[in-house]
Amino acid sequence: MGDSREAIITPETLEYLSELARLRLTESEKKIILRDLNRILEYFSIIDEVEVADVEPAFHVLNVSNVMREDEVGGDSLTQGETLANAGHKEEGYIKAPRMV
Amino acid sequence: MDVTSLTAKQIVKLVLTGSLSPVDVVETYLDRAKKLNPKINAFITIAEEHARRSAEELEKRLKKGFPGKLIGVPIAVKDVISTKGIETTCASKILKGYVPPYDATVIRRLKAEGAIIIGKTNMDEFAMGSSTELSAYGPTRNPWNLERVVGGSSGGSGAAVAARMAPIALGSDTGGSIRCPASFCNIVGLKPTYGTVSRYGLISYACSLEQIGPMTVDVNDCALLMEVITGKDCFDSTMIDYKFKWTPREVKGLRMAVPKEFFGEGTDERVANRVWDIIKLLESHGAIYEEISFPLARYVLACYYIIAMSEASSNLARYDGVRYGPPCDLSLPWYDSYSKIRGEGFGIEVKRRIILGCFALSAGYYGRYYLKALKLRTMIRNHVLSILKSFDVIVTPTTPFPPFKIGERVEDPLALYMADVDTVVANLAGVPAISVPAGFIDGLPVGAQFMANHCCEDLLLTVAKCIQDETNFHTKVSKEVRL
Repeated sequence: MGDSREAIITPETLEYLSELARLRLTESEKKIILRDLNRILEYFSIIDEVEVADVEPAFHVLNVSNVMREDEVGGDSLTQGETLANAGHKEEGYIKAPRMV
Repeated sequence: MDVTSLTAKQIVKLVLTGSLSPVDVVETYLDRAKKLNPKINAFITIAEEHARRSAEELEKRLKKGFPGKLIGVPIAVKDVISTKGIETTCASKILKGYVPPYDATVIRRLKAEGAIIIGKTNMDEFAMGSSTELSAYGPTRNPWNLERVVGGSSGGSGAAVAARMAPIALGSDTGGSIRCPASFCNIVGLKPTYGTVSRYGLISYACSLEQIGPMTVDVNDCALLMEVITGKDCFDSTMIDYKFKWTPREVKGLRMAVPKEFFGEGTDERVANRVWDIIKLLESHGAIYEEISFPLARYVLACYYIIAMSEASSNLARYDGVRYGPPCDLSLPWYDSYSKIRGEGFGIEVKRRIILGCFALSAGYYGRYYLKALKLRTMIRNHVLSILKSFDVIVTPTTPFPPFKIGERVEDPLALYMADVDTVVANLAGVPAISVPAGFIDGLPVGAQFMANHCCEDLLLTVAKCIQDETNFHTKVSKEVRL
């Protein structure tokens, strides 16, 4: 418990994570992030000290669940023009996205 | 009459009696904000045109006899809250130029009561930070000492109020982002109970932790703002039934718990002493205190950051340059296009948190980090609630140290995270917490923090009011912002 560990995040793991996150990193960012992440994870390992086996996880801090409303359109909706106003690329009332296949 | 020395309550009264016009109020504050902003950098956007137009409309509304609880009161709004027609950037390059087509629910409520948005305030990018240094628009400077940080992430709102560029402001608080800058700026900042203020239109960072809340000079204004922004909203399904109500009363008989872990190692002794002065002050008014132990204190920061980063990695997946923000490159395949725009648009701390969040949620590590943190959260919440069975409030410093120098901690994420060690407990437990001015250390403000049970904001305001009446710290204004 709480013993010191090898660096958990290797350059390969970081590569994999930045792919998962769709996040391109420059070489200098990779260096900074690799160093910081391992330091932060080392700090996080403090939680290994705590035994939590029988504890329920807290998904909502006040245990509110399944809040439903009537299946009706609520309030004013945005117009198509308003909805698309911030999109960089659009055509005939649609948003244009990069090629998927 | 110096309009900028009035409370929001006083402005409303004078506007309603016709002694002050909304246009004059707005012009006075705009003038001051424009003069001071180059020095402080509290605002990303000063919404000059919008504020003028709103003030003129309010003049008409007044003539028709439609007053409001905040009629004619300018308000500074953190740039993480969506404002229709006013650029909302989250202090990030990836939202530069984004103009929301709708108002957040809190903004809708403010407008309905006659408040006037005077500008959008600086912050740490996507509210990730504790100093307002991590903004794409440069750091906000502390009005009490321009070389020092203002706290974060709602630092621009804190500075705007402290410099009297607005009488009141809205911030958001995920792990202390309202209370930390309130403490560093000598103002009042309240994080309400989770689920009492609508998050609709609040740009998400960590949904299970964050709440919008008031930042004000005066405790009565804090209550006034709470009256306006709380209450159920069908656009936020995490809300609870709650209507804010506060009747000031005495603190006599109030039971205060003082957890010793938050006053010991890692806490500047001078800060601890200021907070003890406040505890003794309340004791002299009949409150009673007892020192207690909070053995889970050493785990709160790790628990908080694992949850916040995990939620961030999921919430920030939406920024791909397709629907808003700088447009993505259509000539590239989608994967490269998204990676490029996100790589260019996010700052280093946001990247760190997204990557670490991805890691904590990834196969093989989910149980060890994210799930474990959620279980720890249950334990921390239960511990807080068990303390609050025997006590009315829990008292701690708001931050373990006074405002630090700009640049002092920003290169070292863990050193920066330490600023949150006293505040994250309230977010993990969902309980309300307030920071109240507790005096100065070498001219730098520090705050005392009080937490109470869910929906017991009234107790916090009662305590804050007593401190305000007895100390008058809130009336002090930095000489740096004298015009």
